[in-house]
Formats: sequence, C-alpha cells, structure tokens
Amino acid sequence: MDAKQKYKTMNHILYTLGVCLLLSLNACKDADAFYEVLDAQPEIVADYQTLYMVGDTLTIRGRLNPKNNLLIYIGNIPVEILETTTETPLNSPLTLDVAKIRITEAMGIGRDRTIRITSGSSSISAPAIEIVGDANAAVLEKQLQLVKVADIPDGALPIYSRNGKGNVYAWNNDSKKLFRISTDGNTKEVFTEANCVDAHGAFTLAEFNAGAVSTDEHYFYFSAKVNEQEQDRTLELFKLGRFDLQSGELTILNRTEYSLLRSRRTLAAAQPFEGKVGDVKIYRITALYPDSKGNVYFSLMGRFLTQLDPEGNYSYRLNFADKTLMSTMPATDALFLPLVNNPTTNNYYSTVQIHQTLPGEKLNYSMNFMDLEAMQLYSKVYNAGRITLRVTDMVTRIPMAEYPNRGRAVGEAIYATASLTSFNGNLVRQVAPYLDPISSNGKLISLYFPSEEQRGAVVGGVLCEIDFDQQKATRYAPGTLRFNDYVLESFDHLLDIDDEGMLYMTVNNRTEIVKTNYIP
Amino acid sequence: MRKELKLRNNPFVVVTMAVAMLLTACSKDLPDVLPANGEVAYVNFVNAGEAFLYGSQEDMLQRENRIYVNDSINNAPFDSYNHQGRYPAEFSGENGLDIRQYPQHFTGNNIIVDNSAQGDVYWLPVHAGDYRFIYTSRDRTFLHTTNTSVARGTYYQLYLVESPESEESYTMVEASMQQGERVDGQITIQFVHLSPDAGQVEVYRVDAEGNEVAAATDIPFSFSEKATISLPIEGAETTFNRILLRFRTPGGADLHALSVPAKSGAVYTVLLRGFAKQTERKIKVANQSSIGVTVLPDLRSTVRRVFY
Repeated sequence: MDAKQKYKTMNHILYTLGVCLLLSLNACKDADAFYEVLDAQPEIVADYQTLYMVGDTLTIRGRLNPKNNLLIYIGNIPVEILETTTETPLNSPLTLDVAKIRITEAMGIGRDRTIRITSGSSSISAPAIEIVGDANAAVLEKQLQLVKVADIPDGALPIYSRNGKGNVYAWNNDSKKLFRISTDGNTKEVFTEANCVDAHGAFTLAEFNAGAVSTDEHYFYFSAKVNEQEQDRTLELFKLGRFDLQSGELTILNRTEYSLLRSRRTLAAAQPFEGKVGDVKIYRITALYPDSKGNVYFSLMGRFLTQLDPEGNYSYRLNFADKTLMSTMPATDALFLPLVNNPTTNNYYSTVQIHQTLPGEKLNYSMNFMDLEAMQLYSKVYNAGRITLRVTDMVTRIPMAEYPNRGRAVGEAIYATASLTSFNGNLVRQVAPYLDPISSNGKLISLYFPSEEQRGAVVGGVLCEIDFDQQKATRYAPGTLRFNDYVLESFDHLLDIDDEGMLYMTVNNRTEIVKTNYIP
Repeated sequence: MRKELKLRNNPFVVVTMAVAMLLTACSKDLPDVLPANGEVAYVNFVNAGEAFLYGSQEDMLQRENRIYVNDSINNAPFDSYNHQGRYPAEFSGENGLDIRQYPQHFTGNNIIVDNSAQGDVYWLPVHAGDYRFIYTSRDRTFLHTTNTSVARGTYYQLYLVESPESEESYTMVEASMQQGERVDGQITIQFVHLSPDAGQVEVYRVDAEGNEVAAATDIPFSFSEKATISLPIEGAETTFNRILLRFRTPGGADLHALSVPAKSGAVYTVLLRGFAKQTERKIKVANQSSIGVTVLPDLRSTVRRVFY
C-alpha cells in the first residue's frame, strides 16, 4: 500500500469516526432528554397498607417531585397533603420524597379507592386502598349493654323460637314441661306431658328430640320417641306433634312405627321418604325451624334437611353427604335412624349407603345455621386448609359464595365497619361458644372480636352486622358491648332480635336470659 | 484469488457496526423479548388423585410426591432451586387442599392465599416440544408416565387421576387452551370430566328459582373428556352475580350443582371430580407393593380461573 492510499484510508476512517461521534452525541442527548422525562415522572414505593380507617395517615414514599406541582387524588378527590419531607433509606443511594395524607370520609368508604399521583405533566396510578368507616360509625346510634330479662327455670333449656318479640320458650326434659318466658320476666307453663293425648289415647314422651315455637307463637312443634298405652312390644314409636298454644289442641302430624326386629328394618319399611306428612316415615328429628310462611324445616341428625310446607307436603331438601360425617361401617342408632338392614350381608346400612339411598340434593358439606327469610344456609367448611364461611342458596340449593375467616393480625386495629374481605373479626368462630349469628332482614348479627377470660368464656366484644348482599360488615352499635359481668359460656347462644333491633341471648351457661339495651 | 471480506481489517464494517450499535443503544422503543423466542408453552400439573385422600397419614401425598420432566432426574429444569438442591416440582401434601398443583402459589405456601386468588391456575413456562412427564407418589414411588407434545402459545392443565381401567392404574387427563381475546359480557367455561365412575354427563344452566333455562353443553361427555362453552352473564344479578349450573346424566338425574362467578370475560376450568360411588382402590406405597383403601362417594366440582 503506498502512502497516498494509506492517507486516503486514514481520512476515510477519521471521517466515519467523526460522523459516528456526532451521531453518538446526538443519541446521548436523546437519552438524556428521555431521562429528564423519566425523572419528572412520579414513581412510588408501593409499601403502604391496603386498608385505612377514616382519620388515619397514609404515607406515600417515592420520587414525588413535590416542587413540581404535586397533586394526589384518592377516590378521584384531590387530597390535602399534610407535609412533604425526604428520607434516605438505610444502605441506599436514593433519596425518597415522603408525602403524608389524612384519610377523610370524602374519599369514599369502601374498596378500590384509586390513588392517582400527578407531578408536572405526568400522572400515574398507584395501588388502590380500601377505606373503612371510623370506629364509632354504627347501625344503632348509642352504645349497648346487657341487661337481665329473667332466669331460665331450673333444668329447662331454650328451644328455637324466632318470634321477633324476645319471648323465649324453654323445655324441661325432666318434668316434660314447656315454659314461656316473656320479656317482662314472667314465666308461665304452657305445655306438659298431660297434653299428650291423640287418637291412640294418652302417650308419654320417652325421648324428647326437638322442639320449636312458630314465629307467631301460635304452635309448639315437637319430635319425640313416645310410649303409647297399648303399644306393641316389638315396636318403637316416633311422633311429630303440633300443639296449638292458644286452643290447647294437639295434632299429631306424623306417627311412625319402628320395629325392634332387625329383619323388619328393611328399606321398604323406611319408606315412603317423601309425600303427605301423615304418610311418610319420620324418625328422630334433632332440630326444628319454623319460618314465617308456615314452613317447618327439620334437621335429621345433622345429615338431612327436610321441609314440611303449609300444604302438608314433606320433602327432603338437602342431603349433607359430608365425607367427614360418613363411614363405611354399619351405622348405629347414635349416627342415624332408621337403621336399615341389608338382607344380603345382614348388616345395617353404613352412613355412606344412607346418604346414597335417601333423597335430597347432595352437598359434600353440612350446615351450621340458616337465614329462613333470605333463604340462605351457612356452613363452616375447610377449603384449601383454611376454614371459610360458605353461603348456599336454599332455593336453588347451590353454593353461592365463600368468605375467608380473617382475624386480627398482631397490632392491627379492629375493622368492624369494612368490606367482607377486610373485616377482621373472624366470620367463623371455631371454639365454643360458637356465637352463631342471628338473621335479620337478610343480614346476620352476632358478637365479633370477643374478649375471652379463658378459653370458652366470652366477657366482651363488638356486635356487628354482616351484609352478604352488599359484601360489607358494619359495627352494630358504637363502641363495644358492655357485658355488666355476664359471661357467655360454651353453650350460650343468641335467641332472638326484636323490632327495635335488641338482641336476646342466654348467658352464664344457659341459666339466664339477657337482652341488649342502650346505655342511658 | 478470491477477494475475502476480512472483518477485523475492514474499517467500514467495524464503523458501520459501531454506528448501528450506538444508534440502538439509546433507542427508546425496545421490543418485548419473549423467552425462547416465543416458543413457549405453559403447563400446570395437578395431582387430582382421589384415593390418596383416604390413605393413612403415611400414604397420603405428604412425602416427595413429584413430577419429573423427561427421565433425567438430575437434569430437570427445576433442579437446584435457589442453590439448595431442593426439588421444587413437588405437589403439596397439605391436608384438605382442594387442588394440589405445581407451580404453587407464589408464596410457596398454600395456607397463605391472598383474597384475590380465585382458584387461579399458575403456569410453568416450558419450551414448546415433546416431553415425558413422570408422576410419582410418596417417596418417589412411580405412578404414571405420559408423553406429551406441547405447542407454542398453548396452556396445558395436566391432571393425574385414577384410571377406571384397574384399581391401581392412573391416567393423565390433558386440558389445553389458548388465550383468546377477552370477550366482555360472557364467561367461558371448559368442563373437564375427572370422575372415573360418574359416567356420561351434561351440564345445564338454572335460574334463580332453580329451573332449567338452557342446556349448556350440547353433547354429553364422559371421563377424560372436555366440553367448552360460553355463557352470557346477562341476568346474573338475580343469582348473586353467579352463573348457576347443574351436572346430570344425559336427560336424567341431577348429579351435582355449582355456581361460577359471572365475571365479564373470564375463562374458567370446571372440574367434575371424585368418585360417585363407594370404590375400592389401591395406593402404591412402594414400587412393588400397595395397600387397599375405600374411597367414599364425593362427586364434586372445583372452579379454577384460567384467564381474565
């Protein structure tokens, strides 16, 4: 290569490098300009809580550029920024801007309150928060306390009666007497074994299985194993009775004979399962639930839910084919009645076979309580290792929703007025007293956030109303429920709610009835 | 002599490349980079075996219940997770868990499920191609092998379930789906029949009173088969914002009912699973031995959210 050519090549390279340099300078200018755009854009550390109460302070950290016309919107409302500061996190080269905001009711109570941060000409959306009402917003206006209504007569236990007045009915299984305890504290005997007379003559109550009083307090329904005077010695007898509390007349809705002989305990003998109430076979009913429309629902040993409609038709609604309630071993009379003999094996049907043979929509879980006005059934179920509250529609008999059982984390405030996913009062209580809620206008009311003296003795808490329709919980009365030294023990439970929204419940291990009252 | 292009000695090529690199270095519009150049398929493994739920604590899926990919145990894609030599392709043995899937929830703990989880399906991206998947039960007891080809852009749910063929055989039911555009105003459901003894079923939709409004699936489907339908969500506000569905034998008795959230555009998989009748099965406890268990009737469904 001669010198001229060498020079030409060098020139060429220099020229190209020059162009290159110019381009690169330009490119970096572009990049710098772009960084400026990026720097002007707000950026946040999304480390704030997901839930705030009205009055709480929300702290937003990040590159907020407060001098660049910073505006923050929560729930589309421009908010007042209390103060802006800067901080440098430990071991970090960054300096963060910090803005503090007071949560107000104007931002809107509820879930998905959007957060938008505008600085300069750019605007970003940050993770939304939920705002819950302040601690004293409640359904009722004033704080409640427990006051005594009456003592429960010795040996008697309250039975199901949702009359909406607070009148309580209690059954004494030793003296076979039913008492009416009215809200003024008066106790009156309204039914005794002496009332047990029907077409077969007088009968005695050998085993009282369940009782309930209708919503209008007109009828007392009961299910019992009975003894008639002329009874065949190879038979047991079960009766479903309806006693008119006004006229004193007893109607036997169903009389079912149950042979003591294994060979006669056939599947045919256990039928018909459904039909006119006088014709079907009804054995041991363990709970009775009359509704306000003239229906009565029955729990058959926790395994089936049956219904008697006002026209006298008896049908199986739900078959709780819950794996945890079933076994392949022959059933015993403690598990289910009637026992059905399998002639080929000469063994009684297992509970698996009972659930496979008897009618009713099969659910693979069982029920804990019902709302007979909203026609919903509630079950505490284990799902994915957690306990949840499952809601089943009783009309279609299809499960509709499931709610997590959220409790308070350490140091977390009480979110009594909050969406159902944030409510932290434990929708499901797993230890006695279970405090199963009472239904009112399609909502559930019970005591949540219980304070416990020891396991199984509740001495305080917050009444809340759970609204599944609106997916929210609301504190029922301001503050906590003042217990006035009453204690809810293992078997204590809610009884009724009256027109004024006052709750009735048993306390001190079902020895007394108390009601809620405003603290004057 | 042939003229050769020598890269190292040619300043034009070097300079041109430099310029090109400089120009792209500060480019503002970077294209998305997909792993494996977009040759990606997605899989979700589920141990839907029912008999395990009835074994003793020892025979349940607590111990080393795994999925191996191809047959090279040491070379599986999930080996040496976090440099701990741990094998993450393990199904959870959590008691009462409805779905034993891999991958699991991102926390790796099935107890901690955030409220947004709606039975979500989690996906493991793999290179599209042919695979051999090997399922094992406790203590790596061999259970079932399946050879599958996975196609790009396709989502595979692979269910290990009891085969009706014999009392100790298993099969893998594959439900695949492609992600389409979200269609508002409807939900799409893929039904997967995983019940070895429920027989042919069809699905129909019911209203708030429980009355049949329409047949949801036209053709009955049986074990290991799928049926996909789209249903309008209109009117769901009268049914708790859910779509109510019932399984029945073709034209016959109702078997099971469920409700699916009427979430506009969502795509779900609904599993019909469990045995309809009491069944005797065997659980392999070692490669040469098994124990007998009685499986209780528990025909049920599980709703899994797939897309949107």
